[in-house]
Amino acid sequence: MYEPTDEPPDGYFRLLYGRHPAHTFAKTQNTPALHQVYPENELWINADAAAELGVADGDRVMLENQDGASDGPIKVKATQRIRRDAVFMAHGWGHASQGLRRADGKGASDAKLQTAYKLDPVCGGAGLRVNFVRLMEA
Amino acid sequence: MRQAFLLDLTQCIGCTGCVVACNTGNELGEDTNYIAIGDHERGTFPEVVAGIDNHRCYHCTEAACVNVCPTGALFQEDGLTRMNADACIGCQYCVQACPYDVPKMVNGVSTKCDGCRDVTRAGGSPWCVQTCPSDALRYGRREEIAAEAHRRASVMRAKYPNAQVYGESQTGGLGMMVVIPEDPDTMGIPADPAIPTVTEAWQDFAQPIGVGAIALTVAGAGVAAVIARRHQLHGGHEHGTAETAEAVAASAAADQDEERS
Repeated sequence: MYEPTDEPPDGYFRLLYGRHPAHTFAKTQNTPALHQVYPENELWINADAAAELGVADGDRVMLENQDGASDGPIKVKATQRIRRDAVFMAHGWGHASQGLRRADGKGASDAKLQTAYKLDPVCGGAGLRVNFVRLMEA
Repeated sequence: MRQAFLLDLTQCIGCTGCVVACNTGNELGEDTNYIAIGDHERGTFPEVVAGIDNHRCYHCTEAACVNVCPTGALFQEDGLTRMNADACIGCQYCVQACPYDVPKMVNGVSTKCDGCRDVTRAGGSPWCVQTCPSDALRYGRREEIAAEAHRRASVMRAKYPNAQVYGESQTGGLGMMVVIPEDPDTMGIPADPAIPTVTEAWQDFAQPIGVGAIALTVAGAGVAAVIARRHQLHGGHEHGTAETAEAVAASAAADQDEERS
């Protein structure tokens, strides 16, 4: 019994998240050898959608979700490798700890932007890709 | 024995494992890397073709960096381009000459991949090859690596019609056989890398002249010293001023002191 999920409101993008191959969860961002190959996560956004917003590849933006939670700034990666109604970021960044000398303050956290979830009615699994974000000036 | 790397960009997944293994194995420290992973794309969603860039030393046979190096810090061995950082004087000629933009200056000396000299000479594989999880990197005798590269390219042509081997002929044959799914230009690799002609002129012409000039300078300085000494011994007292006569007397006294002690 498939139920279609909500579509993003006007001006919002579905927030997708995944992994960077060099990093493990939110644990390795401060590791020297791993930090230097990918020091901060990027916001993948369709290049055409970015151009319509006046955002260029390499710009830094803040993100705000449908409930007003925000995080960033995060570097924009404008690419044709993602659909127009979604944005993507690697999970694990957005640390706020001065003890993490390299990772502190780099990138954005997808977790801080996830204030909504949906439960699978049969098995109870949580779906987190039901959050929507918009780009704000950094 | 002529060795070579295999770099299969139809298999590379861009995981950066080679970068990390190279960095830690060679103890390069933060912010120095011999490999750079990037990506490229063309087309418009959803018709997009994208691929991984794996930028590193291609180990040229007619190596511009080796040709211009005035100290022998860069040299060739086993078909690869080696780097002896202790001999580098930081002149940056190699940085200017490299057609692939590979050598980088770090702390005043040039750095680049040296094919893991210590590891491979001891019979091991380079760090990047050891860690590659997708079998995109191999290391071995160049003929075997070339055969494997062509085998892979022919298999890949079923999926990528332009799949080919890069490195057979460029700069006299590379120590890096690259299997690429598309034309070199599409992959961001120069199809026919231009070696600046000045680099050949440097080794064959300017460098010997430089050595000759140094020899002439040394010889000239020697002759001048002999003439000056004779002048001092035989003509100093007649033509010199009182001050120089004093100086000669002082130095003569010093000589006597030395003889006594």
